[in-house]
Amino acid sequence: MAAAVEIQGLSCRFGGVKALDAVDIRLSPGEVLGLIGPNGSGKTSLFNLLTGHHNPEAGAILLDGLDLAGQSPSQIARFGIARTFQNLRLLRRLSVYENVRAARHACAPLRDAFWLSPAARRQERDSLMNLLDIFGLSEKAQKTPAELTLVQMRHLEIARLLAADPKLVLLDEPAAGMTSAETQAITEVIATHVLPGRSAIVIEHKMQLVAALCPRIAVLNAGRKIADGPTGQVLADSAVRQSYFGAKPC
Amino acid sequence: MDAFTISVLSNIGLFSFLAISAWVLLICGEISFGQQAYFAIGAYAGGIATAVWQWPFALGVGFGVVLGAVIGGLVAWPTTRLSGMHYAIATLAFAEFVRSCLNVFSYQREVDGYLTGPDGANGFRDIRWAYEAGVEPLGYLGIIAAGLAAVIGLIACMARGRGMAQLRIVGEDPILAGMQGLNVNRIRIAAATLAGGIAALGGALYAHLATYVEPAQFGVMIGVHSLAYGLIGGLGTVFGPILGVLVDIGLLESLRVFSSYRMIVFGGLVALVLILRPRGILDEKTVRRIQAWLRR
Repeated sequence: MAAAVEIQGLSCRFGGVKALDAVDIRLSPGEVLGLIGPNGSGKTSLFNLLTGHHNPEAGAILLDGLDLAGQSPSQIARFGIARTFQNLRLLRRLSVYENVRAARHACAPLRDAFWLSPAARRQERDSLMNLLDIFGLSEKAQKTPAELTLVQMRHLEIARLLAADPKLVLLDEPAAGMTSAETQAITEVIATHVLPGRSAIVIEHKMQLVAALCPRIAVLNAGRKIADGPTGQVLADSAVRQSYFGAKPC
Repeated sequence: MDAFTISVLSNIGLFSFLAISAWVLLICGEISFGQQAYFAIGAYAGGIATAVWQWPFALGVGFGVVLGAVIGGLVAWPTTRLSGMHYAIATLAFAEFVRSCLNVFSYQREVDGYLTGPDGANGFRDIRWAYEAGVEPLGYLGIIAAGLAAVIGLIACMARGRGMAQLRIVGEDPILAGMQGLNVNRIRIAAATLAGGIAALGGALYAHLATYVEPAQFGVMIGVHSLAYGLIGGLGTVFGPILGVLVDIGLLESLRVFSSYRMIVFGGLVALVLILRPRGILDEKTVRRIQAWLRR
């Protein structure tokens, strides 16, 4: 079930640096928004605020009308927001299978901490192995993330995100470090398995992926939103080209 | 089985409770130098219950376990903000606080014409349930083994459920754990409660075997050893800390060739294992390999 998201006047400061300055973004249920901007423009800070990792200085984050600002990361995750990380964040001492399973522990009743029936374990295993299979990781289920390639690690993060069955997905540079062919492949995986039935915000520097997945994009620069609209139109905007690509206005 | 072997095995069993207690916190990402405090709480509470209040043994030990677990949870509550060395120092401070309290704690009542109960630094004598009930050392070794089996069984159930996975996720990356919907503080408090209860169970059993306990027995070195057992034996399985105890007490303390050099050899062993295998002999990778081999 996709969620409606409304970010109102969101501001965040780290010491003397204003990471976000009164940012407004609205997402309809099922809408996919590309979020672009130069390094340090506040894209990941926005994700950190949306997931409760940092608290906003001002503003509101509404998920289906529910204000998330100031809630703990665990509560926010339970409301249905899941993310991936620009710098991969995997549990390196746990197996690939346990990494994906990490997303399934949150809403389990207390008794599950001490016992899971064989039927429940089998059901969970089947469902998670199917998920790993989608990403070609079922053969690697008992390996550690260190034994995977970069592309497989990115796939594993996305598989973990899907295991939580979120309403809003936040993808932070899912194609970082990938070749053009690998970017094409992950774009197809995201389009087929991640986005259907979910709202999404995608941070990415590779316009190939942004153009393929996001009908609309917003641009941040120095913590401020400088553009928001249909992808083609925003990318043609001279102010955007100047701030992001460094191109001189025609 | 001769008396020496029974004594060594009993010590291995009793120290295993302490080692498992510290291990539970280690896999949850917490370094505790203070699990001897709960061992002492279990020893004193269990001893008071059976020797002073004349409760049945099982009830007395159960009282010690519950008290250790509750205090473990209460101490964890304000320390959830701490991590790493700060948490370690807090646990050490609490353990020394408990030991200092026991040095002045006096609670003696007349039982069968004798004053019985803790008497500050003079200790707590006549915890005589095992002798009065006619339990031989071998029989008491069976009780210790049963208690240890219960703890291992509980950990095994948690490994089949979600409990151990949750502890490991919080231990490895608490920020990610939170973003996966896990309540990190609650899990840390639960781990400390469990660890407190396990250490207290060992303490209660120890008091009834030794019949005499005193605050000086629960010093810092016991806490350091209990932590080192997990680091030597490995963090991948509950058998890791038990392996650590076996190496220390079963090998170094019990074999005469090592006895004079125990602390030197033990310290060197800890350093060597930490250099060669930072997560211990039975680390997560080794345990996964063994499990895969067993599944074949």
